[in-house]
Amino acid sequence: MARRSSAISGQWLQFAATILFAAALTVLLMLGMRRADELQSASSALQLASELSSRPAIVRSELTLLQRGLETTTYVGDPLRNIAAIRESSNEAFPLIEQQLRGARLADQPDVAGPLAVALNRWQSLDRGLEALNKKRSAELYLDTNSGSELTASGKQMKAAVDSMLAAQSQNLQIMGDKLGQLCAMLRANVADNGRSLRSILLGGTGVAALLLGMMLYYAWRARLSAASAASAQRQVANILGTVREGLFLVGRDMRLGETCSASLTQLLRLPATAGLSFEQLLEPLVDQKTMTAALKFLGLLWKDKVHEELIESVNPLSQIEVSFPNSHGGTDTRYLAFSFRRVRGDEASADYLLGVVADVTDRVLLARELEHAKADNDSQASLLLQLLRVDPNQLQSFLATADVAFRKSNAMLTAPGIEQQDLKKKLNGVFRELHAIKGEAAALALRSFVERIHAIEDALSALRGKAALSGNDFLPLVVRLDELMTHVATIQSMQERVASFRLQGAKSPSEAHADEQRDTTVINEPVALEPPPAAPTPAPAAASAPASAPILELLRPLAQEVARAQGRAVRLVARGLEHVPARYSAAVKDICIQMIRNAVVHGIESPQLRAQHGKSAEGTVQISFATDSPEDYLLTIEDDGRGLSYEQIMDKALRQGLLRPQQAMALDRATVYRLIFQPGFSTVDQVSEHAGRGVGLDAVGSLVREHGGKVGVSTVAGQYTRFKVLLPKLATASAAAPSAA
Amino acid sequence: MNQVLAHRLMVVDDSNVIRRRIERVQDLPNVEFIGAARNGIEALEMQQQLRPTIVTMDLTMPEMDGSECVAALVQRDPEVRILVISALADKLTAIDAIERGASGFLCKPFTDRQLNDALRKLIED
Repeated sequence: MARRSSAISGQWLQFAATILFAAALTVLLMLGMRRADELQSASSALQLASELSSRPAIVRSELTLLQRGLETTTYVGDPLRNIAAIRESSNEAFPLIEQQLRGARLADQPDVAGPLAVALNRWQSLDRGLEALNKKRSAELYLDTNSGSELTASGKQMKAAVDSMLAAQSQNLQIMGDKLGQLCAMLRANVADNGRSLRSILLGGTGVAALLLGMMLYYAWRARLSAASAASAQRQVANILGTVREGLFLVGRDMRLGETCSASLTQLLRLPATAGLSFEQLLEPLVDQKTMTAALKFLGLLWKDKVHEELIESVNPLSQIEVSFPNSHGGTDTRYLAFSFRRVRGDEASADYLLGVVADVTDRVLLARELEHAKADNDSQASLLLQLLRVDPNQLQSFLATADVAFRKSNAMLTAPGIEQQDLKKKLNGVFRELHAIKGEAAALALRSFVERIHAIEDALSALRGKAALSGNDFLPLVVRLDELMTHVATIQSMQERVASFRLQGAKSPSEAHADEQRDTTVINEPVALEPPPAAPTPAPAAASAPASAPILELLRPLAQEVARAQGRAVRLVARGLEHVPARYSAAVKDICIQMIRNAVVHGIESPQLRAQHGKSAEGTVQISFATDSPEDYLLTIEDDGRGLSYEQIMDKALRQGLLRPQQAMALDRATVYRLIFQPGFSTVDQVSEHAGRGVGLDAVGSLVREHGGKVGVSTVAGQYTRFKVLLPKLATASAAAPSAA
Repeated sequence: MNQVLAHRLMVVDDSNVIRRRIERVQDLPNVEFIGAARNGIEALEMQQQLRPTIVTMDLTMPEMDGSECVAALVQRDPEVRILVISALADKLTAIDAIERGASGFLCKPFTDRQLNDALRKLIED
């Protein structure tokens, strides 16, 4: 503000000085002109007066010539004519002198006017005499006689007049001549004065003009300097605006863009930001309507004096926007732009504007995302490691082997030839069963990374199941996902190895290692101890021949708890005789139990509240027993004390899924209806969860049992129990029996 | 002393955790905590008695929402400076409250330092 006022006063000073000098110069010039006029008049008067001052002598000599001529009676026409001419010119000269004296402003000065008046007075008296002479001019002056010429009477009169005039006017002529001489001297002095003062004036004028010129030159120089510095500042601003990477622009109160903006604005927004364009037009191609509304409102807030602009930065709707621009390859580039605004206050309110800055923050945004992903990856690695540490190494090893086989098998199924709808459906169901079984095992081991991945694949498979017509291409994404699963198996495998080596390192002495081994054994035997079988003590040979059967319960207990927790149930698992499962049935029994426990908890056991309403204990019970009593078959029984199977629900579902036709349904007995639950794709639960609901479970159990030449059956009482019985042949007829069962 | 405590702070928030936290945390030398209201209606009643000069205002409250309360407070006392404190689910809602007369916005969750910075900016100039 101070700089500005000093600039203003500087300008005023310059202006005032110029005016002053110009006025002085004008005054001097006017004075000079007046002096020049006076000088001119005085000069003219001087000239006239000096001419006039010689007249008395001329008049005297003419009169003398006239006197001689009359005496000698010679021709006197010339002196008479001369006298007449002098009279005339002198009579004219006096008023002219007076006039010029007035012009020279000397007419009132006594030392000028005085001599002139005297001279005029003397002349007038002389002139009267001369006039009388002039009147006698025409008369005959001479008369020729015998003795020669002699004067006529008129001639004599004239001679007498001339004689008396020469005598009488001699003094007059003298005085007149003197006075005119005096006048001339005065005028000469006056002219000399005037000349001097005119010279001084001219000198002064020249000085003032020189000063004015100097001042003009100084200001011109100053103006050039400031213009040069302004131009350089402007160049610098232009350079800044041309090179700055941020898009800079101004928005006025009318929400229109200002005159200047940085070159990168056009590059960033990919559209020309011309002055006068409205901010809305600038933004329109970049944002949706909602953001636009919010942005315009936000800019409105910045104009409010009460608002603190730093305190509303966080509500700036343009602080980060995602924009898509078409690229040269016909696709689109996604960029992230960040706008920020500051109010720039001018000298007065109307000069205020908003300075907008837009920057491309794509790199920053992508980096932040990358970091986020890296963090998520780290987290998942950590949680993977944690889940591995929780699982018994032997179980994990066996799980990984099983999973690897199952995934390879699924992969083989998917890539096997066969493009008929029937083949494709069969592939789909086969893969579903394989994966579902693995998911069950993974859940039992609380390997969430597997459960989540398989669950996602199952979602995809379910979607395909719902499709009317399948094509081979539909399976491509599944193959990719399976591949990823196999990679995951490899990852876990290598992690497991590292964890194992770490554990080994931790074992410092052989005795400690031995103790570890023993503890492992203890862990394996623990479940048996926890749920003491009421049956006979374990025969040593059976335990020895079935080393894999012992961990089954170890696997099933956490599974039951995990599923119960997920479903909001309270469940107690009671197992008997699982230690008698022969090695060859170990895997099958494990898979069947996993599936059955899940079914029992999800479909059978009611919620604690419901159980209480029905007068049952809040905790449901799932009992598993493996009996070796029969000579032909092993009997595996899985029973829960839940709500039992619902005949109506099964029927309804079977009809809806097209497993039954209505007219068929009427003819079926209950047992047949219950057997429908072993059909592929059957499930009565509508909500799909990780644990059940896809309808693949009992179908898998059915086919597994048939593969081993066994049988499966179900009995139920609504509201009381559901009991599954699985018969597995004792003789190794499985492979022979399987085809016949299928 | 009265000269120094030039600003009288009222907190409006339905969460007593937030109310207590602002009261406890704010440590500006020239701000005096004078009271807390649980909703807009209470805030308007308290304004009459306590004459606050600065207010922190939650947006989503029962009875009368923050935006409305901002408008009412400003209508009664155009000089009062209001800091809207809310979770930033919808910027437009926050913008709306500022449009109705609030001076600034602080996003939940906030640190003690962020709160004090915001209050300092609110009372500056």
